[in-house]
Amino acid sequence: MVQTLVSTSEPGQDPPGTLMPESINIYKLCRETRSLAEVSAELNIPLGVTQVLVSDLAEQDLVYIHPTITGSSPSENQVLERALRGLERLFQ
Amino acid sequence: MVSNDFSSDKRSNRKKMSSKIVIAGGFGAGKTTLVHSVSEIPPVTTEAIMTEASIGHDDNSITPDKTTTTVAMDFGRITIDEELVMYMFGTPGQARFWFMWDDLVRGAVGAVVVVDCRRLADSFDAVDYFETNKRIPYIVALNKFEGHLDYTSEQVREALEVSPEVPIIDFDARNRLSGGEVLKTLLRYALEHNRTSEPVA
Repeated sequence: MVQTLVSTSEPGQDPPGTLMPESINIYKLCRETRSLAEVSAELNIPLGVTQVLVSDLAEQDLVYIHPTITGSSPSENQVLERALRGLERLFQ
Repeated sequence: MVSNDFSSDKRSNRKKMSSKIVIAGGFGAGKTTLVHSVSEIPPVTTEAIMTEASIGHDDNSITPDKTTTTVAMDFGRITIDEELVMYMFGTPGQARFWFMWDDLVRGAVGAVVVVDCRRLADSFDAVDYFETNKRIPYIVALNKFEGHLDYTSEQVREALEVSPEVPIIDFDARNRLSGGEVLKTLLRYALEHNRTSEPVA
């Protein structure tokens, strides 16, 4: 999903030389955690393409895909409450 | 629990998670302005290539009836704490891009429909979308242009056929705190919504 965060699995290592140039750029960029939307915007790659490249990288364990909070299950209410408290702190 | 040794860096980084809020509404209602006023980064525009069925190409029956369109959408970010980031995505306002809402809405915590009271009709499709789908909680935010509203929230509810339980609030999209109030209202409603609604298969 557009908000999904991506991190390079081993940020200290160089990207494998077999990767496509776009994937190398994603590998390097995600040494600092970023969302798919940000990767797409910063590298100027359309969202759909970014999604495919990132999932290919994830399949090779080169990047880590972070969990997303959708709020659709009651088990996530704790996180939603944390988000609400955070907003109350930031916008007061 | 925070540990400072380097070996745990990666693991603590992995605890990061994200969520998203969708900002919908008619063209020019104030969606981008809202994203702008609450975001910690200048709003970013990204492009998505979307496929849509083409309409009215009667001159050519050989080509497939699909065309691809490049759609721009704006997004902003709020870092809640070191582990939780929230993104706000502004949906394209033009009617012909509504087909991409499904993709954008999937997995969202909730949505805000921004309404310009001077052009109520422009927001009808956005409200209709969330009323019909009922997949995510949504609220209606009336943008006060020039500091006043032409209608009461109840008049707007009736005109746009907004369900009685859906919160309608007024705000100023240019004001950061006012925008923050909209997001808080949405989260409070989403929490309440989760507690009362039956689990859906």
